[in-house]
Amino acid sequence: MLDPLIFGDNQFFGVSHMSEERGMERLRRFQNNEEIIKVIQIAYDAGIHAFSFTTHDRVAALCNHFRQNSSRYPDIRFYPGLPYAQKYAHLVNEKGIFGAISDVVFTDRTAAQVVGTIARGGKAVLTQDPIEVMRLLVDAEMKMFRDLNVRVVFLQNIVTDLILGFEIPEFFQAFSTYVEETYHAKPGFITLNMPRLVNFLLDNGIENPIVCSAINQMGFQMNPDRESYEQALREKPFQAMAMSVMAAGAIPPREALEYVMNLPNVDSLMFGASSEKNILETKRLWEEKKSSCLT
Amino acid sequence: MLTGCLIGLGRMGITHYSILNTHPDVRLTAVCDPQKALLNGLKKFKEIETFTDYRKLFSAARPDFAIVCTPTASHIEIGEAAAEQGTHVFMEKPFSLSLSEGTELVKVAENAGLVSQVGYFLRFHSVFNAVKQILDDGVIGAVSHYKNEMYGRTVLKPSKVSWRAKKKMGGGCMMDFGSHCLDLSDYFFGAVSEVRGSLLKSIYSAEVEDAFFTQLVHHDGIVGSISVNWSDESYRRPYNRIEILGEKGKVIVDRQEFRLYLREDDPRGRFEKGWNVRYLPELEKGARFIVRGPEFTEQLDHFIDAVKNKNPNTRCTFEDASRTDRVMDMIREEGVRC
Repeated sequence: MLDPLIFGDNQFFGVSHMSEERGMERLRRFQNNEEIIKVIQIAYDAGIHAFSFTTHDRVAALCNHFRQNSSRYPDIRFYPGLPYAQKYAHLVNEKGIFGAISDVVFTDRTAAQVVGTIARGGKAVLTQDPIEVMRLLVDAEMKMFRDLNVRVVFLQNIVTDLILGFEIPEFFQAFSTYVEETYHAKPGFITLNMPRLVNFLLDNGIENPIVCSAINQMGFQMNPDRESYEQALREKPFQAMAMSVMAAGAIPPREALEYVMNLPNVDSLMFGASSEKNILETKRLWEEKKSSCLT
Repeated sequence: MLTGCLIGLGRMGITHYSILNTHPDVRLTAVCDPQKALLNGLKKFKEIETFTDYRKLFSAARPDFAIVCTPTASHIEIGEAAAEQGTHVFMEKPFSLSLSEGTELVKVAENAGLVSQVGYFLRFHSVFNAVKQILDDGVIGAVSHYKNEMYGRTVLKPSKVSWRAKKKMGGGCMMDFGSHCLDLSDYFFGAVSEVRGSLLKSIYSAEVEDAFFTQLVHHDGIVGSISVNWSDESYRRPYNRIEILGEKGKVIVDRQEFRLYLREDDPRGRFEKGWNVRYLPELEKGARFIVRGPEFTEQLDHFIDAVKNKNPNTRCTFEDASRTDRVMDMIREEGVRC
């Protein structure tokens, strides 16, 4: 069962789909992890115990904080999203695709781990097994979440949609199996092409998949269009998680939640906020809507 | 059904592959890359012919069109091999290493009636196109001056491995990165007649510039200042910003929004006197399938439509892109390295 409200992290790392300036402003505000921790604490105290983090370098330090202060967050659970794409983009620019992969796989490992990884990775590259390379990259990205309560491991849209376009079901199947067996968590997929992805996963034997996508009244980042999303929600068996509900701030919160919560089959909502006021308002509006939907 | 091939499986190559593989009227039949491991990896999952030599690909696969995503130094020879057998070509940017290198291919493609396009994807970006419309409609009147900037964190330390650090391969901030910025100047303000005061600055790279600054004069007297730097860590991802001053107002645009200032109400009633701000969420339209942004899908679909004769091949042809090659020649010729 997905948590109904999940707190996202875009706002902490300078991502704003609205304005470059606002992104920059947030980068400045959250350049120290203490500021991020303060906001997380507010969300946690407000009863939001599920958090989604991209595997950004800075998240490793946040994860250390959660491990070291576990008594402050007795019920916290994580929905990591991997990979942090910008990191790879820079590495690929610098070192090419293979250089980037070996860099990520071998960095920050003890000698024993490196020997183990070479045994697997060396062989993987030699036998040109992209699925094994994928598993090594998942391990490298997931290392920062060790010993934390991970519910769902999400594949970020940049990878999900790339593979969806290539139409390689084996990749999604192997990712799902690996996440379940190795991390005892559920696999999830973030996408900019929800209807196409849902069909593709269902057609290829991935049952009741967890799919996270933008869902908002404006149709922002909903491809090919809003109507196809609404149809998929009505007709397809999958677990839908909605993000960009307010279309990066273009839709007022009340109106935004009204639209999403009246849709069938939206199990869960991922949202980000930087202030106590916005966190509490979103939570309150959600509860208000939830009770009116139930009655 | 059109058959297509892809040459160069780098970051852009795999993006284009993914977008075209989902196109209802396209079947990708062959790919070419020097790295055999990549080709073998792909072959495990896809029924596709693979080649390490593009000449062999063209003679064996005879595709209707080719997508070329190799380092710039090889663009023209690959484009010529494609044109020789009547293959339509989409080329990654920039088009060629210099105006003279590409001139022949522009003619050959045109005479053969081939569809040609170059991957300046910002010409398909919703916010930049909204501003192009504002300029074309004369909303801010005659433009006198603009400032066109691009920043990013592509190169933050010396690299010996990357082709982007090598002059002969077409590396350097101006060709590989800033060409987008120069192409937008051409798209918005037309051809350049004069280049002045160019400086090419190395920061980390030994062979190539990591930043450049110049002044452009366009044919109708519009003057523009260009400032580009690919070694600025403070930008999370590539950033473009253009500030344009006209007789009736000004407009400031980046990839997320535009802000339009008008001295009087727009007579067509779309904008009011003072500031008008429009954000990406209201300007962006959905696309049939997206990998990185709708503009990447739209530029390829535009190319495919042109190949199918559905629309004229007008946006970002070889000829359009060669004007940017010419401006880069002019900057190199008169520029000072520092």
